[in-house]
Amino acid sequence: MECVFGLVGDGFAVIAADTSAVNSILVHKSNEDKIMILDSHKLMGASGDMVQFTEYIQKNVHLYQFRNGIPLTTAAAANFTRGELATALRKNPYFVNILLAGYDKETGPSLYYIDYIATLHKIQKGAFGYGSYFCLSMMDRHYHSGMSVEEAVDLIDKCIMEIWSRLVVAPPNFVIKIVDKDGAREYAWRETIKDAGVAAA
Amino acid sequence: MARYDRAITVFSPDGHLFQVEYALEAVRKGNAAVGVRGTDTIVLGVEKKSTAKLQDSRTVRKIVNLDDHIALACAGLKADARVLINKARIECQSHRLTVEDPVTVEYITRYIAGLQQKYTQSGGVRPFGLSTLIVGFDPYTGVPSLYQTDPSGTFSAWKANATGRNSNSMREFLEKNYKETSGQETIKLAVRALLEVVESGGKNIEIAVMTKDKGLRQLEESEIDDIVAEIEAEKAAAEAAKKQPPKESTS
Repeated sequence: MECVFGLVGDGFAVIAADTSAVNSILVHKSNEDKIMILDSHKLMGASGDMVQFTEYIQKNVHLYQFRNGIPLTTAAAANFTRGELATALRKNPYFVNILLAGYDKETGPSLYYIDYIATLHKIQKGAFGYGSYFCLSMMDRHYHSGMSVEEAVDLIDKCIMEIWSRLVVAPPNFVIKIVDKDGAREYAWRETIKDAGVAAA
Repeated sequence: MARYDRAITVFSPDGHLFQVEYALEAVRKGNAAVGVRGTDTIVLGVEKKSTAKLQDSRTVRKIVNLDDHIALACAGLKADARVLINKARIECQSHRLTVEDPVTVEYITRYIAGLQQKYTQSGGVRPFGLSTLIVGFDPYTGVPSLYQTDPSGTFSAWKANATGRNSNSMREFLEKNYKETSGQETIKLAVRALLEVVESGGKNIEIAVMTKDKGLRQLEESEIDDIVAEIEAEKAAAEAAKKQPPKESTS
């Protein structure tokens, strides 16, 4: 099952997500990027039925920027996302859980937890999926505010190790993305299976 | 004739849609706007009416971007422009969402022109009173384009064009002086065209430059002043050169 987790550090926020696309017992691919870069300084990691919804949010975030000449704040983007989920909830709900991380010049890094029934929380650390059973405990034990990038990635690696060793259907690969004052970007991959090319005849 | 210009949906006996022609009149009264297409740069320029002392000039943006790679300048009713620009911006994002590709300049021009045409064939509405100059780079081939639309809903591509007040003089100037340019030369050509009809100085001209890599960049007033000064110096040098040769040949 899909594992997405993240935390806020000193001047940055980081999200890690597994990268397997699964249908019942079949793994379609192991390098599916589930963390969308919403704009220059926002990341949206989603689990579940994500593509439709996250692309819609991304285009609306861009539209706001063109209309108003300035980008949305992370809080505004999170509330907009929650609003869209809430409106659709009692008609045609989206089954998607989201961790939204962003960096604003005035307020620094932030992380928001938005689940599929449109709950919104601003958090320092959070996780979705079966992996959350392990990640939340690891983060409770090791997290402290103001972690450096090295410390945060070390904690992420600890969480990934727990998932790999303790979850029966552990996803083999993870992607880690970071957002700070210099923008949102991919940080690293953690792979146990590399998608091989076609074998030579 | 007076009976055929009330409603937009009524043709006159000689085949005119008077409301559309009156809309073109409104455009002719609007601020001058010019667009020039270079090989790697496209420049949009508009006349800036002197801002009132108490007005915050930053809130009066005449050249806007519709997407990362498309920009628009217009002449005519600015309130109508707001509506068209808003719809165009939504269409740019909607296109990206449904086909995962940015719009081409031609597509968004066709869309805006289509909107303008719709309002010439509906009951109870009036046409948009503005002509637009739309510029951009094709997202894949990188080819620069400049298009113009008008209240009737027609559109076409241009190498350089002008609309709004005194557009005929500007277009004549461009026809006489246009050649394939790039970079700073394209900017200077656009400024020279505007200076034909506008008081010189950075205060009265707004220029925006679009390049493939950097997108749309609005020039600062000081930069425009520098370009204007360069142009005036070149003009003065050309005048001086014209006066010299006759003296040399006689001596």
